[in-house]
Amino acid sequence: MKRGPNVQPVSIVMIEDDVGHARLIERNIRRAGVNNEIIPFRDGTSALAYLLGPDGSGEASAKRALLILLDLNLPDMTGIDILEKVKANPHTRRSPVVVLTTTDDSREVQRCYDLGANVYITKPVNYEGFSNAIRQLGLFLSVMQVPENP
Amino acid sequence: MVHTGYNPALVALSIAIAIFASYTALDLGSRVNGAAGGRRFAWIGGAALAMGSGIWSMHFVGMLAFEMGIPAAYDAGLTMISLLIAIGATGAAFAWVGRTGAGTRDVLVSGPLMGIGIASMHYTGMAALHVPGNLAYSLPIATFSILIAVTAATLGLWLTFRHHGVWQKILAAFVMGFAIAGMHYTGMAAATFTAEEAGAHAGHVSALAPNQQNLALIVGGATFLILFLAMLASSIDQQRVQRELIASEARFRAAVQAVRGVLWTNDAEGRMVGEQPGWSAITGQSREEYQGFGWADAVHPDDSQPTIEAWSATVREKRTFVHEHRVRASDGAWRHYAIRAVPVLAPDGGIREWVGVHTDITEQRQAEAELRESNEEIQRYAYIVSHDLRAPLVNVMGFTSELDATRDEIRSALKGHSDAARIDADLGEALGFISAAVTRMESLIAAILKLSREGRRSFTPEPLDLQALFQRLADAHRHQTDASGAEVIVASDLPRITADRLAMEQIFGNLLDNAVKYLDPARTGRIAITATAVEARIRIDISDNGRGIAERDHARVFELFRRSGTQDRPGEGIGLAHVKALVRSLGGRIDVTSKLGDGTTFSVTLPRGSATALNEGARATSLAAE
Repeated sequence: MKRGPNVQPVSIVMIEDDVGHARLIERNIRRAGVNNEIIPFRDGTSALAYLLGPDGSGEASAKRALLILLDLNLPDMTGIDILEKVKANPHTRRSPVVVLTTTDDSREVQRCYDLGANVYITKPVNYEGFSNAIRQLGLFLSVMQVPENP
Repeated sequence: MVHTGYNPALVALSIAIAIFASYTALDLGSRVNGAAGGRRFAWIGGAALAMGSGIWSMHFVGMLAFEMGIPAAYDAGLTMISLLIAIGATGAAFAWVGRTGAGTRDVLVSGPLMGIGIASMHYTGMAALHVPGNLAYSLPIATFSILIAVTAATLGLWLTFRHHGVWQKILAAFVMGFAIAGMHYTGMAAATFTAEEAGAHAGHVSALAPNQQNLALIVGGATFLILFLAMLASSIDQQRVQRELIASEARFRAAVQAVRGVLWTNDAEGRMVGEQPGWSAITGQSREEYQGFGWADAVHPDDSQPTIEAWSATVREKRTFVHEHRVRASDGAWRHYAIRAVPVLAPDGGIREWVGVHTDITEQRQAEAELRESNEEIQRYAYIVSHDLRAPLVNVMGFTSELDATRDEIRSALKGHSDAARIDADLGEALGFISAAVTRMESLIAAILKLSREGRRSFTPEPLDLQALFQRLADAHRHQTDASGAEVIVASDLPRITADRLAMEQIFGNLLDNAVKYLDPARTGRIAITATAVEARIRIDISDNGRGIAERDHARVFELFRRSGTQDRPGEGIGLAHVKALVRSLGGRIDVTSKLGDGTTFSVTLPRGSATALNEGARATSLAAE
């Protein structure tokens, strides 16, 4: 991923409760040649604490350049809750969110886009499909401009 | 001219006969309406006999009361004919107005018939009178006498068949008696007797001969006896009717209790009047509270507006009221009731009152809600399980592939090792089995997910031309059927149906696919699609002469992942489970009849209209699943 015109490098926030999935995602992203920092979270609460700060104001993410990889099935909340909060906060709403989940229910997909998700990817069980999807996402990330949060 | 006069006692007797006979006849006549078959003729005959003989004897006594100064004799034949005319005309009048389906308007036929019968009897009776002189009539007065008979008889009948109260009946009897007696005496006024030998019989003028007076008493007495017997018959019938009424009321109350219902009555406008013990028992409302429209206070606030609207529409259209709402019980709890009320119509077609039954369906509603909930839960469960099962599969598959990717490195690391080839082969075999198992697992999960989605799918019913739909499906299988020389016959003149197009195509596409797939290669394949409408449902049969399904597998074929017979065709055992889920979602059912080696018939029964209620249920489930 290229750096934006700003000084800060783009960090990838990966919210994924399944360690195996997290590892597979990371491996494939790296294979695509993306070397940005990946910050993993295994539950919604800790991810929100990082994104919005301990006070929940979102100022913690000001001046950060973030890209969020989001799983919908989390132990403590659904990814949709996180998506809503991220897109509602003035400091985080410009960060691109890639929903990466096992659910391919059309209503779910629609809802995520309605809430401001930028990309929705279904994790196929078929590994070739899975790794292709992640690698292509990696390629996509490498050319993508991520704005710095206000 | 002959001087004439009347004996007041006999005039009074004649009028009494007319009124009493009218009362008896109208009482008997009014029983015709409720009777059936042979009984009807008995009542009509009785009424005609009472009325006819009453008219006749009134006329006869009236004639005896008439004091004319000349000797009179009667022609027996004509007198008998006059009696028969009276009975016949009266009988016809009662038969007409008492026939099934007769309305108020029919009195306009029967009334004049009876009036003319009375008048005909009178003038025929007069023609039977032989006097030594001339008898002349004044045309205007004679016409007037007929008019009196017609008008009063019509009025009398109208009063009789309009109301059944005792006083109305008595009033009707008086009016009818007036028709008879009024006609008679007016008719007599129209007559002028001219004696041939004026003054020769002056001695007769003074008084009635004693034997003539006796004759009057005998005729009068006989008539009263006939009428009394008729009244006796009528009162015995009245008691029978009363007993039946009491029995039927008791039966009715028992029926209301048997259906766990509560009986109430409303007036024509929907107001509660009088004692309503049933309503009081379920609501705890006192008479003051439920009176008028006070009953509506016990209806759930959310249900009261729809109830009032439905009730007003029903009262306007005078039809049966069918509704459901919640009612507050005396302990304050809301209970569900199904309501059915019917208007009781008065003879004039207006609503006399409403009789309704509230049936407690609280338990049924609760059971339905629980069933719906557990259905939703199962679907939600299937949905969640299949998703959660997928997540670990991603890992198994992912890391198996990662492992596979390291085989080259392992191979080179083991180079020179004696067992290198065996280890590599073992590794390859293990990885192969894992991949195959995961792929299979994935397809099973996909099938469960699909099935659970089928139950939550929302449908868009549209009118469908079944023949065109089936023909399209048959055409889609043409390349397969042509190859084996099989034929698909779609019956013509199939009934129309309103259903979801896609669901119908999936159901019958699947069934047709199966029929084609499992044809017997030993004989020419023949698949027939027929449909018959059975009341509000349509049964569609797909029959083939294929290999058939063994009886022990008939239920099994509809289960997920189960297959029947020789496993020589590709398939997952999903199709029929999917079909069954879809058919049930559409509110229908599917059955199979089959004999191994002979062929199979799948029968799908669907509602002719759309299953909107089920559709709503499906929507509710899908929201819950989110």
